[in-house]
Amino acid sequence: MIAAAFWILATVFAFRLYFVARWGSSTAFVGAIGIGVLGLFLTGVVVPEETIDGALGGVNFLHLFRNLCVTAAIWLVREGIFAAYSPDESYRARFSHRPVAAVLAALTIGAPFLSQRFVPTTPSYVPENVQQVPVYLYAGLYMGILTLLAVSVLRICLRPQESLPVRVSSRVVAAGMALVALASVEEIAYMTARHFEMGTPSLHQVLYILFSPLFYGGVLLTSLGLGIPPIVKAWRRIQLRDRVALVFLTATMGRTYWGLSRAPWLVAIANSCFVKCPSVGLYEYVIRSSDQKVVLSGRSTPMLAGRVLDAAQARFDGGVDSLELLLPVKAPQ
Amino acid sequence: MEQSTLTADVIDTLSLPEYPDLGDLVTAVEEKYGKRLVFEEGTVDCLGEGVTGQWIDTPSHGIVHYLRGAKAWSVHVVLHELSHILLGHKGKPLDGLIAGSFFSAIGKRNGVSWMCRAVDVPLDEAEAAAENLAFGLARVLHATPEKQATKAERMFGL
Repeated sequence: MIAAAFWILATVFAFRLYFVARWGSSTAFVGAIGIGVLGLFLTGVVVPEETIDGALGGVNFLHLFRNLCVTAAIWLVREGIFAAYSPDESYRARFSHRPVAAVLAALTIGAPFLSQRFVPTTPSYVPENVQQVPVYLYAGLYMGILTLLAVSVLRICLRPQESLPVRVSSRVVAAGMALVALASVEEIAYMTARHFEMGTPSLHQVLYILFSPLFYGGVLLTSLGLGIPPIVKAWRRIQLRDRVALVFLTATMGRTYWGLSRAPWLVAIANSCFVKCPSVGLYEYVIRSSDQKVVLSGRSTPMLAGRVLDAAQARFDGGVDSLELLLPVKAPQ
Repeated sequence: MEQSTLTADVIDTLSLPEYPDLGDLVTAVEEKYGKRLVFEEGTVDCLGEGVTGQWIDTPSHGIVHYLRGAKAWSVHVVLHELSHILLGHKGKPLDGLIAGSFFSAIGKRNGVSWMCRAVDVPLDEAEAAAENLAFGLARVLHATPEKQATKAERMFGL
């Protein structure tokens, strides 16, 4: 699940960067996604945690960096969503304290971490060291801040939104943030139970196992949610539906309509995939289709091609109404 | 069909609104033509086998006949005939041999010429140019205003 979240978020990041460079898209979530990718990278999905932590001194500093990355990413997602949902620039007043708050949050998480008795790199850092008060405080404060941020993002994402793609994207991010908040609360409960030695070992085990699917499931959903707008944009840009229809019509009707021999027909199919404006090609097929009906009134069009043509026809004010409705007959003067 | 320079130039000479309808286009063509245009729906019987549209140029006005069919296609046939006018085509003089059916309404008068859009014979140069321009005019006619993205959509990267 962590690997899936990493690769999805990395793909979304690459697409977002491309869209910013190619089409001047908004950079609002690029920083958040980039830091999120870095945070997930630090979980060891590509390079083992031991190797990265070894480069950082071999005393679990990787854990701190990763958590700071996750906090920063969710912080920036919150800021981006605030900016998107605010009708004017007044939202900026709520972020005027941003630098101070960011430094305070980092110090709140970092100070207890630096106060611990450092231990060598371990993949089970928190479970093995939660008895240390600084480690308990460090992990608890991190999870607490994350919960507040996630709930804040969740609340903004549930606001009314008229744009369907934004609404869908927000709702998926909201679902992700709900899981992150739930995982954070659950992890605080686990650490508290372990630190104060409350509950049974089986309860500890259940709480420990629950964290990863909840937290990384939330990260996965958030990644998917932030990936929806680039997908919609790409869909619109490449006009996928028209393009598929044009390729299909060229493949099924190209030879009949344009009298193409095999090689030019294959070239026409290939060109249909990359044509700049597929609706222009569809219009030509619509016109050619009616022309063919005049010439070859007896020949039928294959059913599926006919349906595609009908759908395209409807796009261009199709139907069987008389043109007189559009263009009244004028009496000569 | 690629839009030629000629097509683009001709469209540029028309003072069309940003998103014109067929009425706007007809008005612009009438302005260039200097005569009124009359539109009449025709049938295969009166237009002839394989003929989808005709333009008849008379000294006082122009007549555009179009075969009844799907709306977009009939509009395209009209656009083809308007293209002949915009391209300054002169048409073939009307003579007694072809004066039947619809011509009977006009009578054999001097200065009357005609052109037709036939789909059962290869296009000659003038017909090909008119067809090219008709596709260009159709692009103008079917253009739709691009929806402005909301602030939220822009921020989300749409």
